[in-house]
Amino acid sequence: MKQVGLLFFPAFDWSLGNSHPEREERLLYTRDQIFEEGIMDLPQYREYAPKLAREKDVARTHALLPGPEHILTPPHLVAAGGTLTLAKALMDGEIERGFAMVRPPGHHAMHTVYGNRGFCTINNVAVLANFLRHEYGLKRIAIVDTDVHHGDGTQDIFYHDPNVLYISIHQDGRTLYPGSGFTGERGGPRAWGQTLNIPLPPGTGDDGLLYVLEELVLPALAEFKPELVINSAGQDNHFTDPLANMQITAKGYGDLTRLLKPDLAVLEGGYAIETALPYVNLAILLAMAGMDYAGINEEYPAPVDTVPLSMIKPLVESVRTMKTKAPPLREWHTAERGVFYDTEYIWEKRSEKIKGCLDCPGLHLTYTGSGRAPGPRPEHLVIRLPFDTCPSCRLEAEKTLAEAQKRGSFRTVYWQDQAGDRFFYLDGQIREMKDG
Amino acid sequence: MLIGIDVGGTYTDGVAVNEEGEILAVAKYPTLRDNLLESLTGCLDQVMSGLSPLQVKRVSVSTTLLTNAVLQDKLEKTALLVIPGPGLDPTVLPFGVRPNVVAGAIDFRGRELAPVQPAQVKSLLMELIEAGHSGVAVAGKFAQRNNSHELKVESYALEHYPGLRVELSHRLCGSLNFPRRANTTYLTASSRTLFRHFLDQLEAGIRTRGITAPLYVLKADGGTLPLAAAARTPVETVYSGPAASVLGVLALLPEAETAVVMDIGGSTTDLGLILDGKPLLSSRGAEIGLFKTQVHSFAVTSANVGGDTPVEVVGGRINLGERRCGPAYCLGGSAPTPTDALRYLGLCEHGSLELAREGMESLASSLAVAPPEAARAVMEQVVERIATSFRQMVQCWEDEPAYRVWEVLHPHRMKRFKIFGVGGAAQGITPLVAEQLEAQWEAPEIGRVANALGAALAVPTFSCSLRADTGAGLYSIAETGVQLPWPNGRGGMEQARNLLSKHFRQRAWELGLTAAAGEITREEVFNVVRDSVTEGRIIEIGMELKAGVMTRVKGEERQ
Ligand SMILES: [Zn+2]
Ligand SMILES: [Zn+2]
Repeated sequence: MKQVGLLFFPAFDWSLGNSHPEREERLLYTRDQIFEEGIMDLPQYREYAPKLAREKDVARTHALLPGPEHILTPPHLVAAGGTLTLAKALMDGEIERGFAMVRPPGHHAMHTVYGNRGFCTINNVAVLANFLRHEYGLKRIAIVDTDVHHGDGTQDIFYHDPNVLYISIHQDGRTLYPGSGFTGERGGPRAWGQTLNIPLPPGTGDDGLLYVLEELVLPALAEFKPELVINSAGQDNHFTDPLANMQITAKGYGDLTRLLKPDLAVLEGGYAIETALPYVNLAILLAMAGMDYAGINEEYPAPVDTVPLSMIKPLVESVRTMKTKAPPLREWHTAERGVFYDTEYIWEKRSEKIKGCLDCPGLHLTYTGSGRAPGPRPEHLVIRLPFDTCPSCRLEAEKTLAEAQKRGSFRTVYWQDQAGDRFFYLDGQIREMKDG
Repeated sequence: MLIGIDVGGTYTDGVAVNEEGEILAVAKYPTLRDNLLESLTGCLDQVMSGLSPLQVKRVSVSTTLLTNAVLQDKLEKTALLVIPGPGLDPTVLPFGVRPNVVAGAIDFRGRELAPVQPAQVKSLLMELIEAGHSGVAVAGKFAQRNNSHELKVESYALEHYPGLRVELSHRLCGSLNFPRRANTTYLTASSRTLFRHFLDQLEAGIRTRGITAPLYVLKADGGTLPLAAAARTPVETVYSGPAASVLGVLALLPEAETAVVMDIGGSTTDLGLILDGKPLLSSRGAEIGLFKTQVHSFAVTSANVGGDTPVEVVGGRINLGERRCGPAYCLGGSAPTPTDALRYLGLCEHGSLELAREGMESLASSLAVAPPEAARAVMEQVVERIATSFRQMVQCWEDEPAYRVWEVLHPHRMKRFKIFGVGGAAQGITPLVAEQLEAQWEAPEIGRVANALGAALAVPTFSCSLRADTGAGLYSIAETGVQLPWPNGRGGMEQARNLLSKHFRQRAWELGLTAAAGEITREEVFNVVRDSVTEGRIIEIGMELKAGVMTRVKGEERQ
């Protein structure tokens, strides 16, 4: 029997603040429950210890500004590294699938990172996906985000990437942080339809969630045919979560996992640390091993006033029948956006230029700056050469780098060559990101 | 003078050592499989010949009684009652025997989710007693956080069935892991009478020899306990043999040394680790047959190869058998073994050289090589099996889960080590294994009785862990099952330390130990925050009296 890998990293010595939701206590009762059940002794499971992620593993996904030393701390490297540890175990054939129950979470961390946003700094799942592509040559990866919040960070990182399908099911952005994830956000022109957002009304219950899964998510996966499915397994859809308003139960999470069959699941949010997490984590673990989770009962009475299916169905129908034509390919696509880092009160302003290339996903240039008020000046340039960059995009990238170097108009230039796996910061000197 | 006796599978070893670490006598006595008592007293007589019983300060023994009882199914008929509450289906949990499910549920903070139902308990007990059970072991999920359900079952059982043996899990162990707690409780309930009887006989046997010194029993964690205390928790005495060997080596090493203890027996080779002078404990607990328990034990890995492992040629290659079939060919056995290879190569002196040569020649002719080459091929295989187990053991230790950032930043890494071989064929095999693992080695003659030496010199061990939930206003001691109100006041960790050291001293006194100074091994505090308000703290703190030896053996004794 192939086992389910479990990487439990509760970071019992780290918090974002004494009474912050991301504190030492968050996975304490989860530990109590899964250890007391004796899960680790069952032949179905194999426990792993996290290894630190390497500089390069993070560099492949993020531009850390103004430089990695300002952003990266050991807890991030452990949480991200933990997911990579499980990925290795999976790819080496040691396990059938795996669950990285790690904190801190990651799905609000974007391509450019100035600090912590929505409790996230390093996007564990994105780092994981890009690690699998580089290290194991995977071509097509699907990420299904079932956190109650829209995973705007993961969406941002893969928005122009035709080879990563990002699906997010979340509480409608008009009613919840971060206020994005509408059905119209469908990916860049070269990756049109590879981002699928399914916002649900507050109060959606197990039946609504499973309906969406069966009617939208599973068909989208079947069509995309990924080599591997990653689940951003946030647990804040639970009916007792203090930060959101959904009505999902632990059994609902079990059903979700049973149907989705993720190869790797990674914990994201979930802050009902006593009433939800011990039970939801257990349900996911059991479902991953094909074991019975019907015996799991939260101590609270199950929700009764959930949104009726009749309200979910038209929504699903409207997503299904959205027009599928991608916008026309132009020489350059541009986008402007402001990003707010709620945890650290930082404003970022970004302009992006993506080359409309027929031969590759297209060179990606980001001009960005940050400050303590909206609309800071762009002072950094990020040059991203995506996986499978074509020779002409590479040439263009090198030209851009040379020009930026000559004019010296940027405080930092970050060279992110995913195709060639070379990453360096240029700020007066060249700082190569290393493997060690 | 300290006496140590270790009952092994083939031999019972004994040693007398004085408090300065001088060895006064050693003995090897054949183990009588069906009479452990006779093996022990016979060995004791051999050790004591020429020594005065009045000089004896302490006698410590390690026995295989409990292991044998479990493996040979000689336990008393006992039923396992579990109170699993919601969660995993109890039929898939790793209980060593069939569990009987009692209704009721407690959650991780000790809150009652569902009550025990007296009528159900009553009919269940009736059924079990009619089926011939004379005792019950009761284990509830999270009973260490709230013992009321276990206590209810007990009072109910004793009220209706006086004389029934009842054992409750929360009084025996309190770590998280309900199935292991249940198994530990079951083994305790089903072996206590048996063990008590054995210890009584042992004590009588020793007293008739004029020894009035206190008697101690060795445990799996390498510590000793006075007879009376050990009798209450017989399950802790499993695997005390391998633990004794590790301790014996500890007594033979300089302080703070890192070493791999390699105890080469007839059928297996046990590997243990001493890291900077501290024996490595297993992170989960001992496993006895089908029973995974919470018993603290040294992390000992067994390589399935020993001096008597039968060797044959299969498909033109040397093949080691999976189990011992008898003694070595050179000692009258039926098949060639590693011992024969060693004898033939001149690496040991036991048995007939003539027979050893015959054995190697038979292998050599099947392999179509010269006999010395065949003997070396045998040893290559033996070394490979041991080296593989060693690598797995180190890997396992290096891969131990980490739950704190600090632990990940300070990973376990094996550093330079020495291989310390003990047991029958140690002097022949140790250098070969050391060469393969590129390590230094040592295998002194006295290593033959390292186990008995370890028993003689072992210090008492025990642990005491406190968990306080100040918001709920409760604290508990895992090892004794004490559950008490948390005193008012804002003492926090300081208060927890004071309470713990009080309970630690109390427990030392109950175990019959004096002047026990504990070491704080773990401290953890979690702020319990609800709606941005700190409601209290969860404090977890542990204190231990760690395994060690009273004195080290003097240099000249080690030759
Ligand atoms: Zn969330
Ligand atoms: Zn291109």
